[in-house]
Amino acid sequence: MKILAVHAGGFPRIGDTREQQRLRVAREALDRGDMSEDIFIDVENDMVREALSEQSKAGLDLVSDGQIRWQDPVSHIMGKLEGVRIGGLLRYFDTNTYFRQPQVTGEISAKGPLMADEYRFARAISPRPVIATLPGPFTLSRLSIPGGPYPKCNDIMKALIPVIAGEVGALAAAGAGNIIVDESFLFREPQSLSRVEDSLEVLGGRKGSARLWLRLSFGDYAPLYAALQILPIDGLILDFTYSPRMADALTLSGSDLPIGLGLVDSRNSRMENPLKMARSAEKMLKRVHGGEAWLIASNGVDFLPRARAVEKLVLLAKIRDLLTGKGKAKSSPKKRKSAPRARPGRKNKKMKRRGKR
Amino acid sequence: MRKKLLEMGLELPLLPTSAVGSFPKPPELLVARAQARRGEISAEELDSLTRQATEFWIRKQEEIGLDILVDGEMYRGDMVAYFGEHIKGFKEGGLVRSYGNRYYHKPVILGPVHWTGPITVEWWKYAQSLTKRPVKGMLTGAYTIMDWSFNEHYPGRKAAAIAVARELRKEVEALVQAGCRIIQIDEPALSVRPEELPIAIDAMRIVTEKLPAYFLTHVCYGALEFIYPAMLEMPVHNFDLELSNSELDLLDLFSKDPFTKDLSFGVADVHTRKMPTTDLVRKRLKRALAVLNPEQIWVDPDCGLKTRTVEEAIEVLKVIQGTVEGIREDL
Repeated sequence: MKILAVHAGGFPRIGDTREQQRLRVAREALDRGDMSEDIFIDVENDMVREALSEQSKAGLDLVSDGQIRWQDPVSHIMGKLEGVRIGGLLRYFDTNTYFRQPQVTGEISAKGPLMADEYRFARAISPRPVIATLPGPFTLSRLSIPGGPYPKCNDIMKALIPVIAGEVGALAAAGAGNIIVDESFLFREPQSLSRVEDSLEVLGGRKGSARLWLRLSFGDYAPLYAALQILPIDGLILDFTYSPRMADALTLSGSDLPIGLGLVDSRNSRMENPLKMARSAEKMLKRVHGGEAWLIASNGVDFLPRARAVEKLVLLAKIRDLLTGKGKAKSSPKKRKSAPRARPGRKNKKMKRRGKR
Repeated sequence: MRKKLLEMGLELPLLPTSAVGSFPKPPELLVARAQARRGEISAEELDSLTRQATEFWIRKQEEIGLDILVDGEMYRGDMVAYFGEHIKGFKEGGLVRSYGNRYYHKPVILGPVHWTGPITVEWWKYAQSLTKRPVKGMLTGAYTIMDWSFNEHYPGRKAAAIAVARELRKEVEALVQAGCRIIQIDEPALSVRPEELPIAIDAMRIVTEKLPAYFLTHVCYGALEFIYPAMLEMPVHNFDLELSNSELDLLDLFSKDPFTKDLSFGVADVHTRKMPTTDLVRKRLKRALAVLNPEQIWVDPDCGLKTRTVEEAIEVLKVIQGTVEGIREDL
């Protein structure tokens, strides 16, 4: 079993020191017209370099560009599309952060690349392989206001699928080996799983040799767990911080997919105990048959103050080392319990899975 | 709910006007607050400037004609961090993003929370001493304080929210004791986890139960469709809702399940530089009046005006007041 410590998503754009606040200062200067776009981009590039370096120093195997250029997780993509106007603020899930809500006003199409250029830049300067994360068409559609030729969110989703699929293709062409699609709205609308499944089929058709991962955060996905296992994806990243049922579901049913264990809470500054985390992970990993597992935070670490965010990333590497025997201590065998037997019917679900991977 | 207000000796016109809470701080106060943080001016000097700014806003609201006033929160920075600074058990945390290029110091609960004495009462008393019109008491709710803080002490979210609620009640009791009859307890995080609505309701019950005051709660920028109509169980008399930022889409919900409380109706989006016109505010209010009883409606902007300039904030309030006065004549 390959066990990797991974970060995907946001990295704090600000810290306590003056130096760590240079992006905020630059953005203010840009907004006032006191800084040119070119100089501002230099500052952004520098912050991306720093985010990549911090993750690498933390000991992670796969890293993210930290979404340093993103004003929020929605308008960064939607704002680059024709037929979309960026409007008022709305809270992003249950976080105390806000995004500008897109209002669809006309026919949706991509004006140009959405993320591939940013990815290329990060890949070129990163000491470690870089993961790309895209918000999925389902989630983007649910966080937008319908309009123009799209009277319903589902109409927006249909229009977004080819756009996001195109970007999956562009990211794969730019060298992304792992592309994550974040569909975290699914916990609010589980009945739309089949729509998400259909969209993943289309996105998967453009991934080339890259692996397509689905990320689900901000809710309890235990009731959907069995159905998630048969999606046309190469890996599944889940948030384990919302409900203990999530760990139970994985331990009970196992996973034939490579899995991302979002055990470390990226929403609370309380530090987890690495030994306890390693023990929980170990129990679950016994049931993972997908050949690979990622130890990852429950979402981007930009919800945390920078110093604590870095500590959490170091923690991920520490848990990995404990699990792979590189750390000082391995979990006591006495603490280990044999994995429960697979749930009846599991075999049938396995057979239903599509041979896409 | 007007009966409740009358019982407390508060006779308000139809469509009473108010503000949500915060106003922009004048530039000299912003400078003074930064200087005070660096120890360059004394607490007394800062206090004096804060009082001047509070008086400015009380006079301005009277001049505009608002019916229920606010103190403008000149003494506060962030709505949660402020309470974190005054309740024992909290510590100021590092900077995290709020939106775009705006960041704030998110508080951390590091130990058992404990109310050590009045937090807002002196400010309310000072603001009320400047006017005969009622001034709202202004607090942030226990659920929001919990949700917008890191919790490194309590075993879970419910335990943290209930502990904060028990301490916050002491602040409400102190406000009531001081004579405050209209108290707004902001819960903008109310809708973030629909499954936790019962926790927020329990927390609000602890804070307000059996206290002789008219309670409002301000909720904004959330997905209320996931908690409506269950949220009407909140033990408050009035919901102050941001409606214009979301193009009044909540009114459709109220058409299906009647809104059973008073509603402070946000008629102006506060996160845009575009000024609302009288025509726009009138249209929004007419739509509200098509769904709600006029006796239920209070009128205010969507949210606190602290992110606008002083001039913009005054202009928004003038447009609202002028429009409401015109509509009152037709009712």
